Amino acid sequence: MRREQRVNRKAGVNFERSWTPWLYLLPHALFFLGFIIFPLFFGVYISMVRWDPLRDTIPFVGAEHYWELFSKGTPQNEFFWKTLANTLGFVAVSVPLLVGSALGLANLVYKPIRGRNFFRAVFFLPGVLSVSVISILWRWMFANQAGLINVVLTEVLGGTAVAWLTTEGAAWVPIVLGTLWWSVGFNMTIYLAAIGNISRSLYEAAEMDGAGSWAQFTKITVPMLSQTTLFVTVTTVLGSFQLFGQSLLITGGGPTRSTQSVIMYITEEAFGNNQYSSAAAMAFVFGLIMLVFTAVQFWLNARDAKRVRL
Amino acid sequence: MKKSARQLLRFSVLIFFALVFLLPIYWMLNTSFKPESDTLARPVQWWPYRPTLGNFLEVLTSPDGNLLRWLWNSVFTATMYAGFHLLFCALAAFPLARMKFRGRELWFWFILSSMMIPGVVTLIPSYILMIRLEWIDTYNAMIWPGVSDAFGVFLLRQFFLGIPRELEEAAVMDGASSLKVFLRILVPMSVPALVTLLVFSFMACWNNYTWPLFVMHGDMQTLPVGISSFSSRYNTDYGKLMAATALTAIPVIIAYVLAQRHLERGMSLSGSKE
Amino acid sequence: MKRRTVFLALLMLTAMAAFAADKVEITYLHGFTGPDRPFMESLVEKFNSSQTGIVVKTQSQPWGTTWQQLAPLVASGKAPDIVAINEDQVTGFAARGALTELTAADLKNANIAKAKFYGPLWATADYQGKSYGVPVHSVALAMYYNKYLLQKAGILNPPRTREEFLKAATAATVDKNGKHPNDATFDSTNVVTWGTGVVTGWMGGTIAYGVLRQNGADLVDKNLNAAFGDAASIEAVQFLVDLVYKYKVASPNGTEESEIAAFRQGKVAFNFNGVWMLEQYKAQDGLTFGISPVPRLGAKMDAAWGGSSHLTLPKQKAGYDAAKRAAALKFVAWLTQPENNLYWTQAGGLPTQPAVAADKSYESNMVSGLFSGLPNVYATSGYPWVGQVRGAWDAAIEASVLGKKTVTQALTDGVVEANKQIDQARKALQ
Repeated sequence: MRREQRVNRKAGVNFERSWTPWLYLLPHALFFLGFIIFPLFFGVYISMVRWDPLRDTIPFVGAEHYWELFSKGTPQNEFFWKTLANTLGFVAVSVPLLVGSALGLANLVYKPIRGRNFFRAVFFLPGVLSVSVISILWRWMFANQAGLINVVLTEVLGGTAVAWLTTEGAAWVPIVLGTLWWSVGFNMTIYLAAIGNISRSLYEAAEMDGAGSWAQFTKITVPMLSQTTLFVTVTTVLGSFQLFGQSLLITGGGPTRSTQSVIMYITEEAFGNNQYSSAAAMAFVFGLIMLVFTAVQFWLNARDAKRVRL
Repeated sequence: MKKSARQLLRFSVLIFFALVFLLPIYWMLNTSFKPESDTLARPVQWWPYRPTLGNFLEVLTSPDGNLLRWLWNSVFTATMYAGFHLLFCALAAFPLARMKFRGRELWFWFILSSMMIPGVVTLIPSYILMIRLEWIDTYNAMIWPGVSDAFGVFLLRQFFLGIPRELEEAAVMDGASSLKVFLRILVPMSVPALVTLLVFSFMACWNNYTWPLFVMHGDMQTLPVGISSFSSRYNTDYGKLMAATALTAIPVIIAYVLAQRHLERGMSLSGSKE
Repeated sequence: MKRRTVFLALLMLTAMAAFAADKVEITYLHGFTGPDRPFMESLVEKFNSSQTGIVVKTQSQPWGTTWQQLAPLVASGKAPDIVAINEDQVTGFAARGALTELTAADLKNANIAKAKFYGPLWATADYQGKSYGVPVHSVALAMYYNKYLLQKAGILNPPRTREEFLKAATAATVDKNGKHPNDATFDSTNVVTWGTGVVTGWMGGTIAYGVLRQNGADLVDKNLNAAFGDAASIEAVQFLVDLVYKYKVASPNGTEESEIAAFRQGKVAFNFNGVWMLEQYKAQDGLTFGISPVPRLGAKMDAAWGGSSHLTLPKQKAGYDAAKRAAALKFVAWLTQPENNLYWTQAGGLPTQPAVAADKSYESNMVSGLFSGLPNVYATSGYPWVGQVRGAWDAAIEASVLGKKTVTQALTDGVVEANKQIDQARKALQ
């Protein structure tokens, strides 16, 4: 044991008593502690006082801002849970769509076909645009009076226009479709990489047994991709929980807050109502709810980390 | 026979989806080349009957916002952010993958566990921190707060661990310093991973919206925030709004076509959309 | 020769230093960016060259930045000497102690005459009987009307009252068979042109606020609590809702944008929006329209929403130079005098005082159609929780207009919500 260590030190691998490794870690550590760890604890403090830059003394209020979230009748109680429900609804609708159609598209473009690279590029393309660009585009597409969708509905199909942006329920359509358009290519790319790792011999054997392409898809592709699907689902859930720009820019959260996301409400409370402390408290409660999913993401990464080390 | 029919069906389905995917882009361009009066014309104009570059000219010289300045802000902050992010993460990943020292595991898991903190939790305290540091409306606010994260360290550590140790050990035998090992051996062998991380963090900063919306204003806005401030100014000036949007989107689309491979890889390695 | 040059240069430097030392330098922060900026900057230049005692340095940045930065700046004693603040923010900053009162003595010494400005406009920056700002910029809600559609409907003048407005809107609402809402066979699902639109969102709340004031009501009561649940408020909102469901002269599901689009397309006769829409409407091919004050849709008085910017003097750290304050007041007085306000309105604002509105240069200007309404323009201001009250009010209007709730229910709920928010805002101010 002792001998081995000496050899290691000689080989420059062992830095047991040296500052060297910490010198390499230092720049990252400084900013990591300053801008990730410190704000976490600073946030706990902010959420327990009533913060206002104009005050000379900042009063300590303890759990009041948390209490407001759980006591009936406060605006925070009403709107936090409402916007949280909106966000969960968005997650429930958008995640299956984003995962399912990504898998479907990947399956369509994986096998050789004319223009395969072009199709891949087209499906991924919207993913490089920023959320404000895609939101502006989809808001214009679904505009009540002159949007392309209503033009098609009335002039081409001879039907009646739908007031997308002011009808509860319908207002989700541009948000969900815009998000799908924006980020399905991202998931598709992950699936494409994973399909490439499935052994060809499995498909060849299935072909010999006379399995059609649908059977191959459901019996081989889908089960073989279960790990990828788990990863894609978790990242998509976390991404969908972050819903902010689309709601803000496509519907403004309306009509009657029906498409307002919880992050949008938190920013309204902070920057609109000057209630920074209450907003910080809400962010913590929301973070706790998300912990279920961030923990799975952490676990997936931790598993990879351990696996490589072995 | 049956197979080629199926092939044709698949091809048609793909064509259909591709057209649907390109439709919003077409509609943006179509609107941006119309004089404002024609954007609302009924019956609708499927292509610009009176094509004009006026919207683009007006948007580029608009007193309501300086697109080129916003573009510069985005380019500068994204470049600085990506550069420092790569530097800090690579420096930190090196000892975590290659050196034995007390506290290594603890520190690594400490960093990794920060992945469980959603960004929204630190939004308000970080914003207050920016006020205290007087960093609101400065490039500092875009570059430093996110520069040290867990993801970059994790990704590079994984990659470094996969590089065989033999070369390195030989160099150490010859008396090479750790910095030399890092710069001469590890870095050259990790170019694909480094480029991927660079591209990814550039994109992440470039497309960030929530954070700069609250810390960057006016001439200091980044392109995504600036363009959304145009959208409230040109609320119903559809031609100008679409011209500005197109000017924002087209360079990115061109860059994507040129760097498609790295980007797709960066995205698939990233595991996150933000 | 060389020596002489050096000597001269030194002399000049000393002279300049002495000259500069005599001047009071003050800073002026405003949000007039974009097309407004050159107008404001040339005014400041003009002031600086018109006298020798004061140098004004301007800084312009978006309004939102100022709302975020002003409090920390005041707290750290680094506030600018003059800050322009908008109508919906000014009371909040005054209540939080970020601004100093402009006392009667201040105004008298600087020769600023409150009575020369439009009354409600000046009162916008008053809080608890004290003045905190002098109006420098003003905008207002206007009624735009499509002249062609009104002519076709046989209406010769823009309506001034509720009855005239209803009559005109009914005549201008035509279905595909040429029927009007007062015809038995009118088909409200196939309308070719609408009389007007009732919109949701911020603009919806803004329009409704005007009608509420016309009924003699207000969003808050004397104690600054939300009070828009009384009979007068309900009547005002009910009338707007009735335009859609009872009189059927307004398209359902309107948004601010869809109504602007419809007005530009010539599909709606009346559009309510800010004076800032004038240029876009002028640029629309084939649209012939006029602009006039919002008619009296309520029962008691003329009123419409207005927005404004006010020059304020923030709180400074102890030992602040009195000469700076005097200089700041002098500049405020100069910038808001009629001659300079007239120049400023070229950037798109409205006159802040009758003397400016009466100027001959407006005679051929379309915007003067709005001027008769200027004495009756009211901002949402005077209480430190404008954002909270407007949020609840706008939501109540939206719920009413979309038929989610009855008007009474929506307004009652809105008042309850607003008062809860006000309670919390009060706590934050204590």
